[in-house]
Amino acid sequence: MFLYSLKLAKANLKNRPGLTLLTISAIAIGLALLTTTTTMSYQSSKIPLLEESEKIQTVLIDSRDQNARDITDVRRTPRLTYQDTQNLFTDATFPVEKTYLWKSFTFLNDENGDAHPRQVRTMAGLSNFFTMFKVPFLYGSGWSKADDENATPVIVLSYKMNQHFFGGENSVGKTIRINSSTLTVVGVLANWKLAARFYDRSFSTARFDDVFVPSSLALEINIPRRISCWEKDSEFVQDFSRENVNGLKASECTWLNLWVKLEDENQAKQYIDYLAQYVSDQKSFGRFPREHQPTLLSIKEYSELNSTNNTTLFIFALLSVLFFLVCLINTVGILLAKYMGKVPEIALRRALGAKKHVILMQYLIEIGLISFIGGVVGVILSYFGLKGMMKVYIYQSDYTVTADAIQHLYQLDWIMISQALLIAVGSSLIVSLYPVWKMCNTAPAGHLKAQ
Amino acid sequence: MEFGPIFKALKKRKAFAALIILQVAITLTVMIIALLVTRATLKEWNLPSGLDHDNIVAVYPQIFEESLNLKQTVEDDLHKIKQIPGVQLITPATQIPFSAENLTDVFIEDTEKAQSFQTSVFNLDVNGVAVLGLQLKQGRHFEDTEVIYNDNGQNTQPAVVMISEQMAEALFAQENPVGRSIYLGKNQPPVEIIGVYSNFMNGERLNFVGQSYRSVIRPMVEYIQGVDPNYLIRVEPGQTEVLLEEIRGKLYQTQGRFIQGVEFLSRTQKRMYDGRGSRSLIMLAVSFVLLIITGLGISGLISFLVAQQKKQIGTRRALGAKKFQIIRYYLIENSMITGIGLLLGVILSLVFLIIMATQSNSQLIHVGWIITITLFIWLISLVSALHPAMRAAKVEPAIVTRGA
Amino acid sequence: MLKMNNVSKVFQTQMIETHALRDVNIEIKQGEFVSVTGPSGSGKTTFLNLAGLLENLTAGQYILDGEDVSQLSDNNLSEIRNEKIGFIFQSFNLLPELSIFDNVDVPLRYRGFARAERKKRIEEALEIVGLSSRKDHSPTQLSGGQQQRVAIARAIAGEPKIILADEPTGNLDSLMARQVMELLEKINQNGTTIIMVTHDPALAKRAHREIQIFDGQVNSQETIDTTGETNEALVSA
Repeated sequence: MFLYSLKLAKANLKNRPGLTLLTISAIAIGLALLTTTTTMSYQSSKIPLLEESEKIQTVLIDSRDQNARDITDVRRTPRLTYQDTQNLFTDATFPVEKTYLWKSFTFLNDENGDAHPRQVRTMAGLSNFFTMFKVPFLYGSGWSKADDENATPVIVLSYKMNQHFFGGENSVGKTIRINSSTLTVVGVLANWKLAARFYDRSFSTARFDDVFVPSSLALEINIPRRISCWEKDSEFVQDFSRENVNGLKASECTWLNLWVKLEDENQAKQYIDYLAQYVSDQKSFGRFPREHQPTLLSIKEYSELNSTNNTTLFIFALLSVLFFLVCLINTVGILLAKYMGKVPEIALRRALGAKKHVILMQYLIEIGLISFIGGVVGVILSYFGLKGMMKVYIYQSDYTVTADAIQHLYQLDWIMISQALLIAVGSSLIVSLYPVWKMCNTAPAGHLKAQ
Repeated sequence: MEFGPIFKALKKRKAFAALIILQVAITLTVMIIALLVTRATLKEWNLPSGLDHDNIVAVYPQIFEESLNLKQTVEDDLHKIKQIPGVQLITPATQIPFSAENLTDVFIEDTEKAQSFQTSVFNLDVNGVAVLGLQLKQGRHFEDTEVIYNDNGQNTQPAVVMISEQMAEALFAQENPVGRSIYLGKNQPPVEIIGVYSNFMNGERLNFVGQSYRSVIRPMVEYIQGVDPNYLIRVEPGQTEVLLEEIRGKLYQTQGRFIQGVEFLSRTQKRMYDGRGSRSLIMLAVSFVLLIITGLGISGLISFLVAQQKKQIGTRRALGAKKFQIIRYYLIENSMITGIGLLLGVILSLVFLIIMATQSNSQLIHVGWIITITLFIWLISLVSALHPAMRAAKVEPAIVTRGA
Repeated sequence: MLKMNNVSKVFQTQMIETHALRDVNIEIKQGEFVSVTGPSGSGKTTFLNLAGLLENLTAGQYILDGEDVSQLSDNNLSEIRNEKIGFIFQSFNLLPELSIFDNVDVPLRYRGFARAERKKRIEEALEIVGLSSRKDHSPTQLSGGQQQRVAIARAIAGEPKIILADEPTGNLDSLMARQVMELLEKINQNGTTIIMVTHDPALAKRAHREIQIFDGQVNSQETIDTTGETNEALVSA
């Protein structure tokens, strides 16, 4: 029966090729736009380090002065001060896996100047960064705990930087310079496919770090730091960020990210209590003047907050949903217009003994077929739409990002493709179900009389 | 004509009319905003830059080697670059045209309540005006001795400046600015205007508020650690990327520095417009797609209507309607529906445009364009309705005698 | 008034030719009330369509009101339908979205009458059919008989030379049917020619003359005296 209906549907489609084309293209265009935007938001809201994303959490405490602006969005909580980071990191009363890091821009160069220097995104952190965040290595490994303590001049390069300075060879043991300091390469990353650069709380999806150095070393060679200073410290921002490390360490300027790995909710609760205790202890030293409840935000929670607050993508997504609805209503409108002329035929077939559900089935199969073809064309169009959006983004960034750094954000996968087809077929069927049902219900008699 | 009865008939088909009204309103809103944003962008795109931007190169060097002497390095650079065939003139520069984002408040009197004039100050050496290829409109050029070189934290201010024509007009209207004094900030010493040069584009911040050509050129080169000067280079016409590579290569001969960019000013100009440019490109594409969909939609819905009303059309034909009157009926009906949608769309887009205007201080509303776009969409809807209307005209009058 | 000479109508599809009417010769005089009868599929609807200029004839000559209308353009046909012919249909064919007043107005607008003229004619026509009080109602608010009376008002408002009625009482109960028939007879008495297609022999007998169509051909044209009883009695006598 199904095959017979399919055959009839096919014949019907061929009957009015122009109209069929019109309906297919309306579905296809609307779906293409919808799929393009949903793919973009789907890809950019992928959660980095998914399997650990609920356990690994960033510590958010606010040591700013009384006059500082209130925090309305938890993601705007400042980073940590050096004092708090050290206190919380070294304190052994709550044993838990933890690491901290901060960010800098430096100039990577080699002594003999064979390759041009590069301005590089630099992560300064601890040896366990690589294990805790499951960083894949192509050559060598991260540095050791001893290197953290001794400020050993070592560096880990990204795959891209190893390509630029060493032509992709194993550079472990070779030396390279950051600004004016010479460091030894201990490891080269494999292509680290991180959904977003979560660990510095930027969640950037297009720009990844180029080099990784021990925090102790970075402070010793005094590379610039991105810091935020409040009230009394604000006049020292320049000095603290470029020159005065000791002044910075003692200040209330915020610039570090502390991450802890907590096994379950219970442990997380305990850790928050522990943080609250820490804050109240610090209050007795005259610090933490604000009323403030320390919080934790897991990678997952943070990602979800980011994607729900991405207004540009949201507006775009909303618009494309509206577009698709308009397209859908149009398609179904056109189809119904076509079927309207067939009401007498339906009446005839009903009179000849066709059951209502068989006729219903026949039309639904036809609509399903059309929307499926429209869906396939729409998916193909959205492939080009995504390509176009990527080109626009690269153009807009004045070619400061490369296609291979962002193409994962503009990629269709099977989930998106099947979702698109499902939306096309499902929504068409739902929208047309009622009118087709009504049409099939027309009394056989009324339309036969005049035939 | 038959507006009255059509209107009455329409009131009985609210859902059908609402579908078209909604589509038309959305489409018109998107179209108006997209086209007006594009128009604003293109208008500023077409603003003459006042510069020979294809033949001026900007260089952004950054020194990271602390042992490098800044003054020595810059002097070496200037010397080396001048040797390259194709290079005509070079000047150190703090800001680069099209990307000047640091604004200075300029005053014409030294009082508390003096009116401030926002502008971009360009610190250039004696070659500056010639590198930019600016014409002298009034007064004279700088002399070698007037250029101040500040090294090691010296803070000597030049005694003279030149200003652009637009700046002169803003400051002194029709009066002669040459010989007058201005203050480059509160509590700054007065500087004398010695000349007025032809306008050139400063940067997006002033461009956005319609003050694209306000600028001051100050004859000064400062060597401050961590604030490396950029270079502006006048090159012979017809130079290509090859020259840029050569400049980059020459600069990299000095170890301990990174060359962030070597580019023609035309690329700097492109970057200045990119954000809005690509945004309006996407919006244009989207609204074009929407237009197609709406056209198809109107066409489909009217086909639907026509199919439903065959009997009525036949009755009208039997009662004496000519074919063209049937076509006219559907076109008028469509225009009335579309008209409501268009009215709604115009109101909606005006609301958005006014919100956008208050938020970004940009005047997008252009009555002529809004009317044109509205008429255009009305035309599109007519074209879309024409095909089904012609089908309606083909309905045989004899249909009326064929039963219920 | 109406004269058909050897009129034929052939429907052509890819496979078959159907001769709906063959060599029909009919003449109907001004002021006549003619009924057209015949079994289903006999061609009486085709005859009505041809007479009403709703379809083009395949062969022959058709003279309406002294004018040969066999070869006129679509626009001219529309004009003649509008000016000279009034239609009354079995299913009334009122425009459901328009009020009673506006329904009667439709042909007058196509006629190009001025507003005041239209208003006068509509009100007169509604007066005749007795529905003046209902002019702002929608057709769906009326009974079948009332709807048909609106259709009659619409047909007579343009003061046509001839009224073509297609089973005018077919969808009505007997009481309403009688009212409609009386109305038609009244209109006929004012000089308007009426051609009525019906399958109801009783109704057909009320016409001056009955044309029977059988298998696409005119079978007989009986002249019926309005006082049919006496006539018959005379014959038998």
